[in-house]
Amino acid sequence: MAQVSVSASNGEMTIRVAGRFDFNVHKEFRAAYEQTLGGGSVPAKYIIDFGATEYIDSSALGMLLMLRERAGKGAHIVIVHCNQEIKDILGISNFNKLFNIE
Amino acid sequence: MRILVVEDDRLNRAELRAILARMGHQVLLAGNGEEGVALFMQELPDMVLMDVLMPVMDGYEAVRQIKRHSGDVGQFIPVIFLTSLTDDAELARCVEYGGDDFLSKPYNYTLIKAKVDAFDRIHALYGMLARQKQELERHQGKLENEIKLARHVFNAVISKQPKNINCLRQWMYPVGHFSGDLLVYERSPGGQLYVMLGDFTGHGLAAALGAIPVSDIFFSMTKKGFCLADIAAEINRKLHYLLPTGHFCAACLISIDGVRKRVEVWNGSLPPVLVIDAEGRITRKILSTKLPLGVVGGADFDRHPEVIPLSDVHSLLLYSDGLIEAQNSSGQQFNMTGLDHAVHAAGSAAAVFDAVKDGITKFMDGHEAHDDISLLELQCEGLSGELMDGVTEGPSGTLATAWSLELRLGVGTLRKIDPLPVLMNWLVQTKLSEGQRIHVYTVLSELVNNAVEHGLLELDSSKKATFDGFESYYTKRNELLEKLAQGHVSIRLEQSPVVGGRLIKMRVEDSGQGFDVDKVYSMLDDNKEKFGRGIALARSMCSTLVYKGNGNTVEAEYRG
Repeated sequence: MAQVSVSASNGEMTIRVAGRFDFNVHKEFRAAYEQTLGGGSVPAKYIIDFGATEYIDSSALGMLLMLRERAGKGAHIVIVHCNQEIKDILGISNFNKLFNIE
Repeated sequence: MRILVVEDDRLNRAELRAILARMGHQVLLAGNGEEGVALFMQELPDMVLMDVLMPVMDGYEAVRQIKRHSGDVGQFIPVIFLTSLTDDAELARCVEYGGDDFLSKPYNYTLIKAKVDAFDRIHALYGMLARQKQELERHQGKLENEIKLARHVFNAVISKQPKNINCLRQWMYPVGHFSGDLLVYERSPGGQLYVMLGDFTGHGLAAALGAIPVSDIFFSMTKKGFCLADIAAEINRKLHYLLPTGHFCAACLISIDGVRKRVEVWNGSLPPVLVIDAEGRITRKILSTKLPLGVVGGADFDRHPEVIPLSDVHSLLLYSDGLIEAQNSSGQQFNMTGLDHAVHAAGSAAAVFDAVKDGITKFMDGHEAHDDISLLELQCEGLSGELMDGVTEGPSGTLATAWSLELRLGVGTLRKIDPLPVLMNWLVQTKLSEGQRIHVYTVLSELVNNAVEHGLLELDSSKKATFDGFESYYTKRNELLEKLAQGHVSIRLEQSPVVGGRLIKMRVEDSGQGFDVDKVYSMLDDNKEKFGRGIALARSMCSTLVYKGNGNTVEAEYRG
């Protein structure tokens, strides 16, 4: 079972998913991005760190879209540290058109 | 609680009754084991207090019978032995016979209350579990009914598709009750075959819910003659509106046009479509360049398919990501490499489909798939012939009537609306036979596309001669159309009844510069290239086809 952890600094929120990012973590992932920063403000930038993520499936893509909706139009979302497999899945789905993938 | 007390000593009985009544319980009394069992069967109490040594039937035997019965009725009814025994072996025997606990005599109110309360809590817990189990079973039944309903509606929707197309082979391996993959195909009035393979997020019911509107749109728009781009855009619009964020459909839409000898592929997030040549080699992979259906709305959606000449394609292989992500028992994935090997091993185009199917089956070796697997092969050359074979030629059997219609379309309209489905819909109403309809549709679409592409946009069709050119040609077409400031295309159709059938006159005029008419005629007469063939094709279907004015007006007559 994957682990979702979240940290925040300077108005940026970093969400890390360790293990398999699939439907089983949807509650944890949602709880993570629904957190507000100190003072109740919403992050201006989200960093999704896939450094410890082994695999993502289509429900993970769905969760990314939900995060994008939650973040709103002005927010900046960056996906970092993808392994080749995850890059391929994001590529096939053309998610580079919606997210900033580094 | 209702508590059964089985005790032969009348004084003890009275004492227990008083204690339990004080605690607020309802008490049933029996004087020996046999009476106790009988009363238990009749009343099914919530708890039993049982003396050990009694006449007629002792406590051990009574408890054995009681436990057997409460097991039969599927309930947990705690039994507490009442005993003055102090021998460890005797106490152990109480538990062995099915007792859940024991109370020592003489009775102590505090101790009795503590034990009875504890079992009351356990009893309540069991009751809750039993209710939850019932609830789960009820939900399970409800879910199964709903899946049955969804499957019924789903089957009704896809049952509309034509059966027995030999050059289309499919293999589907669903994970859930029914697949999250959707495969639909239908013939268009213009004689093309339209195919869609979709892979919804999730499986079973959630996926099938999306499949119903998608297939409905696919069938109705295909039958009305809409182009692939319009169908993709409409499905996207509908899914974007219907599905909650996070749910979408990775899909590939394909049209095979045997008349115009071309294949269109719109790949939105399905794995690469393999283009196979006659020797069974992969000559190209058509990568996904679009987002899945339902992710973005309106203007952000890229509707334009890739266009490939039919002559470059022997067959196409489509599959859902379940195929390349399928795992064997050691957790390895089949991958693109596995697929490439399977195709390569086939040795000929005809063997590719079975080779891939066998390859993946052997690879998984009975290991359960975690995603739906779909595999589809379209033998394009064969299909284009097969599509025309089934067409009914000859007169429609109904008397032709006289009518005419005229459309004048400005640039703004041409950017948004493809006039051909509108005209096609009209032609369907006029009861043309299928063969006539395909001919008229082909002639009209060639004349209209020519007017737009060469008349208005002044595109050079020789660009289409190369493989890459074919694609960049259509990209260029859309770009130019976006940029064009003014211009129009007029279309006039007129039918009159003639002896033995009908005469349909078509006239298409554009506001462009025109071109050298004589050069076009000479090109038509000796052209065997990939380009410029459209007009030659149209002319072969008409009794006459002539260019007028400075080349920006064309008139054709069709007799049927």
